[in-house]
Amino acid sequence: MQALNPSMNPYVVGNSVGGSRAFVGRNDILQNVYDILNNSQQNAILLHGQRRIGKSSILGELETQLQQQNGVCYPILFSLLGKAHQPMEQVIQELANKIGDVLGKAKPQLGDDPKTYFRQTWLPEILTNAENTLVLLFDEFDALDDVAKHTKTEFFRYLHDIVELNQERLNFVFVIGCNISDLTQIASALFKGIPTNRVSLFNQEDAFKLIELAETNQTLRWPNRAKNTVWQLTQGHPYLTQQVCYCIWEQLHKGNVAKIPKVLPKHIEQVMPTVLERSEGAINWLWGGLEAAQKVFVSAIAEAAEKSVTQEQVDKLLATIGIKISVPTLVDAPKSLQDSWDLIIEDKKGYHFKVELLHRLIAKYKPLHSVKSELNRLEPEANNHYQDATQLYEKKKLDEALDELGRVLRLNPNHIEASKLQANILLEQDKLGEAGNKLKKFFEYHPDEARLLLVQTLWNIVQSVKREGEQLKVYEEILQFDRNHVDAQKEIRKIWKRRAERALRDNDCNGAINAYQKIGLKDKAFEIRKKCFWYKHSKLIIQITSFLVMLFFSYLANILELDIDIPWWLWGSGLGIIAFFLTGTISFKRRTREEY
Amino acid sequence: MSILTLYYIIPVLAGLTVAFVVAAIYYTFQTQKEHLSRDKSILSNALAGRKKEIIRLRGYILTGQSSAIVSMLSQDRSNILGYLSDPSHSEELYGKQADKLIFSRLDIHSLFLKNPTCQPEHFWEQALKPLVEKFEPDSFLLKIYQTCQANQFDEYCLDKLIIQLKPEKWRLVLMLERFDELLDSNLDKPEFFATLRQLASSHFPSSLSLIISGEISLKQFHEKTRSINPKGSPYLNFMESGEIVLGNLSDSEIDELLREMSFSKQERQFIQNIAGGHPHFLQLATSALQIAKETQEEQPLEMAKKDFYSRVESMLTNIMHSWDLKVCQALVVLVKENKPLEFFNDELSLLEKQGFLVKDSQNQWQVSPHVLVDFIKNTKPENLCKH
Repeated sequence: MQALNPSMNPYVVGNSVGGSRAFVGRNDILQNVYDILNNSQQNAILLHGQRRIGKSSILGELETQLQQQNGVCYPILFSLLGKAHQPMEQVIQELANKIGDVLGKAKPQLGDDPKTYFRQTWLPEILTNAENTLVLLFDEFDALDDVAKHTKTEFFRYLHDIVELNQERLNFVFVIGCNISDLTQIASALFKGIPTNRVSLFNQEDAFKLIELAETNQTLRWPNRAKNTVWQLTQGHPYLTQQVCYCIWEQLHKGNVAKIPKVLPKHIEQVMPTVLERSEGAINWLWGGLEAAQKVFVSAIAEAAEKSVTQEQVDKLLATIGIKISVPTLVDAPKSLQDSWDLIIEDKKGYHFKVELLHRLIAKYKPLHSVKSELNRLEPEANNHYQDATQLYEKKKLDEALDELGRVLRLNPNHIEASKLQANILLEQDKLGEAGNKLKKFFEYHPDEARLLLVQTLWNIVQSVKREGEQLKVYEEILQFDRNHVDAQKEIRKIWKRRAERALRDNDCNGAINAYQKIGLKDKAFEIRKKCFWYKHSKLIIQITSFLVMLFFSYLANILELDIDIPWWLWGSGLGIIAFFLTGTISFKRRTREEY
Repeated sequence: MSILTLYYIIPVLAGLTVAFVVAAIYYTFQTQKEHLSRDKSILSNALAGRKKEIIRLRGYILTGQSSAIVSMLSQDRSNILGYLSDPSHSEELYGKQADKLIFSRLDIHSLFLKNPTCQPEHFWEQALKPLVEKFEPDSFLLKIYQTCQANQFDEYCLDKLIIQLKPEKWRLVLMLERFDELLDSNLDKPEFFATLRQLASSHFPSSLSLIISGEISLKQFHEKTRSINPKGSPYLNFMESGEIVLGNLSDSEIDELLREMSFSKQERQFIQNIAGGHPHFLQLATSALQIAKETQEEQPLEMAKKDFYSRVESMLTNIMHSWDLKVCQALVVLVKENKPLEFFNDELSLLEKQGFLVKDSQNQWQVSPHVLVDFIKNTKPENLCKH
């Protein structure tokens, strides 16, 4: 068998698959929608869930299924993406066009006041005359939440009126790609009393149906072991399941294929790098929806070596990026990640990812160190105070700005920018010591962020210090924080050089040697050591030499048989001892100093 | 003339003539062969090393899905799109479906050059031209198209048109080159991008396969359009898994490519060093060396290096200016300080993905191609990155 045509790859990783053979499962959600359609007391349902979880595919499937029911319902699928900035009249005209087209009517003429005419005349007439009910399937409904408040209020009120227009013959399915709590108050008010249904992961049975698509078109064989491996990785996440299967299909249909390839667990691991690479975008949409605290928490769990992590381990990991004190949003993060996002699970062993592949993706693309910038946003209220503080700072109201920053850091002690601004203001106010102390504490957790400012502060401090010893201490402190600080290095050299010279003047050899050694002038230190040796031991050497000279002369006198009765070693030694003491009084100090 | 003369001289002359003819044929053949092989190598190099990407793109086109090609080198992108839409490869690439695929290539840059005030209706008119040429007069499709024209190509009408291609089994493959130039243009509007998304993603298999190409990634595109679409789905997130970043070729791919071209080992090494792993740079460097050898330069490598530098200099200026300031700075710091800063980790990873950095055996960043190092060193700092 030749390589199969790629058009036979049955997995779809981008497009909406509703109404096609690639759509599987979701019977529970479809049933909930049908229940609403059959319920005279309810006429709307809200479907919500993460991006790329398959919400649009459900709408597409509903459209197809309802169309196939031979005119029982007329489905009108209408995406609101890109409509937020259009005039409301235009959106209504487009909606009317679509309804008219589905019902086989001419293009509606809504007149000069389309809003009123559509709601009060055109739509009621349609509902009265149409034989069956209309089902408006609104995709990307949350996109409408992005308009000026007054327009939004008007639009949602209008929509509310439409929803209540005819509960029996006009039904609605709204789809949003966020949590209901993330909608503004005006938008979420529309959904008060409307049943909601979260679109989440497939159950195992549906996930297997999806995996088996290639068995249906006879292009892959999927033994249970392989299906289970995919399940363990994706836990039925529709997008990721499609992605894994798509890559496996590609991999196993490279070149000539003799028979229908059988998928083995090893093939799944082989395609993992490709799957991770191609799913990077999947992390971005997920990431965009998370709060700062949720991002930080999720990255910490992904970073852990173990699959499950306890709160204590999470705290330790968070400390590595400078989170010294947990803030309320961080405490609440695990719960929201479980309840609203369906992302993590907590069991006896601790927290772990529901979908292993998401774990791998976050560990790869959103490592803990990369979420440091989120620390400022951990507490929204603190961040608001920070914005106020920056405005006060710009207006040069420094004391008031400091008060605001105090509030920020009380609410969120991990706010990096607030700590930096606080130090800057203290510097401007010449409160160098206070700024230095605050920055040293800041440095403990955020060395990269604090370094520059701290070094600058210490540099300013050192300029106001008079005593050399204290200067040296501060310069050395600067080097502790920035070992490549050239100016501090220069100043330290200057100080030690001055000290060496002073020591030499005071004949403090050890002091001079030590000073030269401190600044790395080893040759100079050696030279001093040599000179100091002669200086240090010169007295003893002269004494011993004079003693020996005297002894030698007495011995010479003995050989020359000078008439001395006292044996040479006796009088020679005596003379030597006298010479020893006499020379001991001669000072070489002056000469040595001159040499220096 | 004696019989003896005839007996001996004529065969000798005949032999010489035959030898001359054979030699002439051989020489002509060899020259032709050399010429052909050189042409062939350059032609095949236009797509060399991009086979994987072409196979992947073919898969998306055949299944009615969409994709994005990201590369800093427009030549690289254009070569691939040209190959995919070239009718002479059509059957080989798409088999039985070849007849049903209608390719429409639109260069956004040229579009705005021709019509600086281009509006969505002008865009669609251009984009649908190859499709409309296929419509029979008085056909249903043509009528829908005319209705679209009358309605300024609104989303609803275009959707209807694309859906109606399905019964005919037609698929429009819309290739938008220099897609990033849509940003900050007249077409940088929520409705326009939402329409593109709706048409290409709301059905499967879709009768519109969108292939976009440009310098920025989809992630960057979505960041740039966040201001006009803060709440809805990112416009092109449906093609994120189909995004193809044209990075460096692997060492083995480069080897394989250069081995075809009768260069010595030293020359191959030289080419790989100055040109890195981008096929277009490799091709330019190869051509520079060939010319230097043909003109019998005393120092062909040195000459080729200079020639190559002059050929890519303006290209490198454009590339560096098209990068975000931080990306550009990351590269400049790496070259000038000879060490990367942790601060630039994300930018360095991006440059690696785009094939301008590689990690050596000691896990240290190295700039590739080396011509980029020379360029950064030779250019005034203020002219390197955009301000």
